Amino acid sequence: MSRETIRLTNVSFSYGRRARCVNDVSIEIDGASLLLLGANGAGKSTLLRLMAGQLKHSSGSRRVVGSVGYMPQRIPRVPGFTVREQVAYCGWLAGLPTPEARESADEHIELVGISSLVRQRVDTLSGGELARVGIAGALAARARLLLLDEPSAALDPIARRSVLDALARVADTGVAVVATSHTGSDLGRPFERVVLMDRGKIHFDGSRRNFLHGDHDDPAVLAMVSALNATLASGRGDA
Amino acid sequence: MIGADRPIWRSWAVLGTPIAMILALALARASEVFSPFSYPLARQAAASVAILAVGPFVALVSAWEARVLLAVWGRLPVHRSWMRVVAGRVTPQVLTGCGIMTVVYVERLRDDLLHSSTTLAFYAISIAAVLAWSVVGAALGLWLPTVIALPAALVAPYLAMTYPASWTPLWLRHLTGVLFDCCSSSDRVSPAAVLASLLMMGALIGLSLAALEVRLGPSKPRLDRVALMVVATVSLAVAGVSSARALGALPTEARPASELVCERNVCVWPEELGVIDANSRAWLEVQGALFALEVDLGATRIAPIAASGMLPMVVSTTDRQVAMVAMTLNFASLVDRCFDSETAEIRFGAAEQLTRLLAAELGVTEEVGFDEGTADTRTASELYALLTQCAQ
Repeated sequence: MSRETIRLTNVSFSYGRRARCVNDVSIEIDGASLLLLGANGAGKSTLLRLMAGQLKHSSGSRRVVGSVGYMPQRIPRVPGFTVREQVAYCGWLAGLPTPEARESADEHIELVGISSLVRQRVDTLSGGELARVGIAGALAARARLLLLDEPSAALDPIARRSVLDALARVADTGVAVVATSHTGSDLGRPFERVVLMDRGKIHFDGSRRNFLHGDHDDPAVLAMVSALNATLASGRGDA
Repeated sequence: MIGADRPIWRSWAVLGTPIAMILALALARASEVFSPFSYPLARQAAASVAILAVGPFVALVSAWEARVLLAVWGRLPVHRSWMRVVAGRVTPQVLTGCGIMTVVYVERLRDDLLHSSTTLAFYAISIAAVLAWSVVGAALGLWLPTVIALPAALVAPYLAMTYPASWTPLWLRHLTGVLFDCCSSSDRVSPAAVLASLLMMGALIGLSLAALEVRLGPSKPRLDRVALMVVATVSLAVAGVSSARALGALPTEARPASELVCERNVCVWPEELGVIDANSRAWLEVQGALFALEVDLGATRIAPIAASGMLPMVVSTTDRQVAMVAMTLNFASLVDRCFDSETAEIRFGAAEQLTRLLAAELGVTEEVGFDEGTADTRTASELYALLTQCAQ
């Protein structure tokens, strides 16, 4: 059985004439869920958009096998649409025929736990609810590889928990989840693999356990790990 | 299936249809040229005026629907062509717009709907206009902020369809998609006017599609495609203008005399058969009076238009007396063939005197409203000769 795969090889990208946001990055997503960590401006979102094909790389190559779903950081609220309509529309935009898009919407709305909201208009949803609508929308194209840009950013702890629980359920169905985070507070299920980015380059790519407990000599990794540990020690983190 | 989103009954295209329908029917009814006889072409033209309500309606809904595209475009993965996605947003109002126009045509034309060869031409212009204004609305919605796009979509089509009617050169009005001042029963719509309208609607669609391509196409618009659209738009517009320039103020041409139906001494258009009897009797009396005045017209027939062996004297009435008075009033001016500004005053006096003599012979002096007479001693035959032989 073929697995959903994204392979970026020596990919670079810059916005206009500014310095490269992504600089000669090579990465392969091969079915395991992955958290793309990094400070603001590290290039995580740009890398994710390059993976999703939302941006065109200026050099290097991109190879995709299978169906990929993408959720932007600012999830659109389609004016006048209900939750079901927006999720189905995402599936239709991604190429599914209408009946299949509707069917897929119902399935994934249930999977992310927002069945009670199907008839609610998206412009009345809270941030956590909207994040789960975004996840269902990204999955609606029957994606087996899900790219999520900061799915839990700006959410309160309860909403963040509900989003992470939804992602865990999605991962349990065999979908590989790739999410970006700038706080590391999302470290946990379903993310077994961690990639740390700084200034457009990858500084760490390995298991979560190794990231949190391994010996590191890269200053960028050390800074992030010590910041995470300090957060955990102060009792404010929930990773 | 158009798309996977809202059921069509929840779209503004459907929700706004009753209001648009009422306005469209009201406009069509108000636009019909009054005539006791129902000329299908005039009713077709009146039905086509409903686009003044339907055009802004579909443009407004399209501009509103463009907000959906703005919400998702560039933010979500879209694996369909922008044309397919735009079609999904525009199709409901195109369908309802065409539906409204169809209802208006059916309501206005009823039995003549399938019998009139020109219905298709008017209907084609209406459908092209619905399509054009729908796409224009989408382009406005995608290029302008919503707060500007919505009023612009409502007002711009209306102004574009009505304002050029009062501009010079007069042929500009034929590029609006509305055939103004069409048609009296002696006219038929000019193919040049139909063609000009269709071409300009095509140009409008081409221009809007080019704007959409730039807005929604790949981040670097494919210049070859945009250039092709612009060239097609300009070509259509130029062809439309050249077609319209051949026309004057009216989108019409003379109806061919071959369509006349003749009975006894009267020829009429097929839809005016009801006036034959009154006109025939009135004309016999007028001819008799003229004969008594020593003006012999022989077997001259009357018709709605000037044609070989016919005087354009048919009156749209079923009342013999009314027809006779109208013929008395019109006779002299209609036989005056000596158009010459230098002798205009002389001829005018002659025409007035001939009318006076004819009215007196027919006993309708009071109805005609002329006084008893002047010191003019010329006979009717002399006056008739003065007006028709152009010797003086």
